[in-house]
Amino acid sequence: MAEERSITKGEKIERDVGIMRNDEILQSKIWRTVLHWTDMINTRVGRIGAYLLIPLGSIIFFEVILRYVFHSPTIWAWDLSVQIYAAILMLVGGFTLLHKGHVSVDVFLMSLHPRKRALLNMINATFCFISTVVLISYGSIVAWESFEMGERMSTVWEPIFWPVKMTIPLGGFLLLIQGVANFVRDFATFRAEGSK
Amino acid sequence: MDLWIVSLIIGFALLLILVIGVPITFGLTGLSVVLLLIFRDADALYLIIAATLKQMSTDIFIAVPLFILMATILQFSGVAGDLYESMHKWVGPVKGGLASGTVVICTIIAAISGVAATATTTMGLIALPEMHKRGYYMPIVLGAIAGGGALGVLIPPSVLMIIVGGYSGVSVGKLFIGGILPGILVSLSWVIYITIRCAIRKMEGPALPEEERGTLWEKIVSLRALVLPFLVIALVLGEIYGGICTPTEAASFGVFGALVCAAVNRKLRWSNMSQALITAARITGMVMWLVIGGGCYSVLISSTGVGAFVSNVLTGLPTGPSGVVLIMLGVVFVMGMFIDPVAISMICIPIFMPAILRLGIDPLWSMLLFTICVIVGYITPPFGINLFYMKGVAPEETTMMDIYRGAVPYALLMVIVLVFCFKFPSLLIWLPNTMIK
Repeated sequence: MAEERSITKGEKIERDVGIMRNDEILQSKIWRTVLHWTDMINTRVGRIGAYLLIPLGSIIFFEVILRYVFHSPTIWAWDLSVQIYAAILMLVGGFTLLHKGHVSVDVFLMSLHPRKRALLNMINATFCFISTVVLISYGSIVAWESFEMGERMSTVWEPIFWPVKMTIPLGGFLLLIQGVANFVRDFATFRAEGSK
Repeated sequence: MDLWIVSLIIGFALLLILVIGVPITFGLTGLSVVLLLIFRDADALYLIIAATLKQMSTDIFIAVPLFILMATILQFSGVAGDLYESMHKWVGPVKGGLASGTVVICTIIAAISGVAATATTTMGLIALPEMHKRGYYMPIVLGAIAGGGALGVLIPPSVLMIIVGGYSGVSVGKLFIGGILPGILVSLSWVIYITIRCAIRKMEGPALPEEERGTLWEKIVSLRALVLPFLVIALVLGEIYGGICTPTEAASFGVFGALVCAAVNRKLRWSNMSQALITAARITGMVMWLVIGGGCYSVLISSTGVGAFVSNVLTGLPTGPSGVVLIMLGVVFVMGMFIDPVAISMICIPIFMPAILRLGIDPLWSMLLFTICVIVGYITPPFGINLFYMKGVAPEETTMMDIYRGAVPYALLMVIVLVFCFKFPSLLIWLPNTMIK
C-alpha cells in the first residue's frame, strides 16, 4: 500500500480513467474526447456512490445505538438509508460497466480472434441498449407521475418518493453512455484489426 | 400460445445469451423486455420498472453493500496475517498442519466475511508462498485455499444467502444459522482429508523443522490474534442470533468491527479506506445489478405463466418431492461449473420456488440445499470463480491444471456433505428452527 500513497491525485484519476486506454486506434479526435469524458463521468459518479457507503453504514449503525442505548429511535433513519441505498445502486452501475465488472460467461468470447470478439461484443451491446432505454424511458414516466402526484412513501416519516424513482432513469443513463463508449471502442478495434 | 413453446423459447434464448457472453444482467433485462413485448404488450414494460424498484427498496438487500464493505475493509486490516502467524506456531509441527490450519483460518475468516473472495485472495497471498517454500504438494494447498474462500458464503454472514433469502422469501436469519453446521462439517471433512493424505504420503505436507517451532509461551501469546475476529463474530452473529437486530443492522456493526480491527492493527489509513470503498462499490454494482436483472426476469417468468407451468410439470413427475429436489440440485450443480453463483440463483429460484411450495417441500431446507449446491460451483472446474482468483495470486508456474486437480477432492467432499444434508434434513433445519422462532 506504500506506493499507493506516493501517487499524486492527478495521476490517480488519470490511472482510474485510463482503464481502457486503447483509444489510440480511434481516428477521430471528437470521439476520443467523448470517450474520455464518459469514463471521467462514470469514474467520478462511481466514486460518489462508493463514498455514499459511509453515510449508509453510519446511519444504520447510530440508529441501532439510539434505539437500544438511548431508547429514542428516529423515524427517518430507515427511510433515509433506503434512499441512499437506491442511489448507490444506480450510481455504481455505469462505473461497474467501465471496469467491465458485470458478470458474463465469457469463455466462448475469449476464445475468439480479437476482431470477431469485438464484433460479438458489439452485438451483445444491443442487450445493454435495450435494457437501458427501457429504464430511461419508462423509468422517467414513472418518476414524473410520482413527482406530479407528490407521492410519498408509506412510512411514518413519509418522505417524497420521486427522488428514488428518479434514480432509475439516471442509472440507466449512466449505463447507456458507458455502453455506447464501450461500443465505440469495440468498433474501433474491429476496424483496426480488419485493416491489418 | 402454448406454454411448452414459451418455456422452450425462454430456455433457448437464455442459453444463447449465456453462451455468446452477454453480461448476464443486461441479458436477463433485455430478454425480459423483448419477450414481454412479444407475449404481452408495451404496457407490460412498466413491470420492468416495478421489478427494478422492488430490488432497490427491498430492506434486506441493504445489507449486501455493507457486508461487501466489511469484507473489503477486513482485507487490508491485517487480521488474516495475524491468524496465520498464530496457526503457524500451533500446527506447523504436524504433518500437513499448515494446510489444515489454513482451512481453519479460512473458516474463521468466513465467519466474519460474506463474500467468497476474501479468504482466497488474502490467504492466497499469505499462506500459499509459505507452504510453497516448505515443499508442500501444491494441488493440496491450492484446493484448500480456493475451497476456503467458498466457505465464506456458506458460513454466515453471507451475501449469497441474503440474495437467496430476499429473492425466495425465506428468512435470511434462518438461512444464516442453517449455514453454520454444514459449514463446519465441510471444513472438518477437509481437515480430515488433508491429515489422512499427508499421513500416507509424507512428502506432500512436511512438518516444520525443530528450530522453527515456537515455545509454548510464544504459542499462547500468539493466540491474541483470535481476539479481534471473535469480537467481530460476536458483534455480527450475536445480534442476529439474539434477535436484537436485522441482518442489515448487524452488517453496519460488522463494518464498525472491521474498522476497529484495522485501527488496532494500525492499518486504518484514508488511502486503504478509499480503495476499500471503491472496490466495495464495484462489487456491489456487479452483484446488485445481477439482482435487478434477475428481478426483471422473474417478472417475465411469472407474468407469462412459465413459472406455474414448470411447477406443474415438476409436480406431475413420478419421482416425488425428494426426487424433484434432486433434479433441481443436479441442474444447479451442472450450471455451477459454468455460471456465476448469484446469476444461478437469479435464474433458478423463480422457476424452482413455485414448485417447492406446491409440493409442500420445506422452503428453508430446500433453499439451504440449493445454496450449498450453488457454492460448490465456486470451486468446480472448469469455471469456478475461486479457481481464477487462485490463479491470480498463485506463484507464476502454477497452471490451471494444478488448481483443477487440487480443487476436485475438496468439491467432492462438499458434495458428500450436501448428500448428508439431503439425507438428514435436521442437519440443516434443526439449528435455525431452535434458535429463531
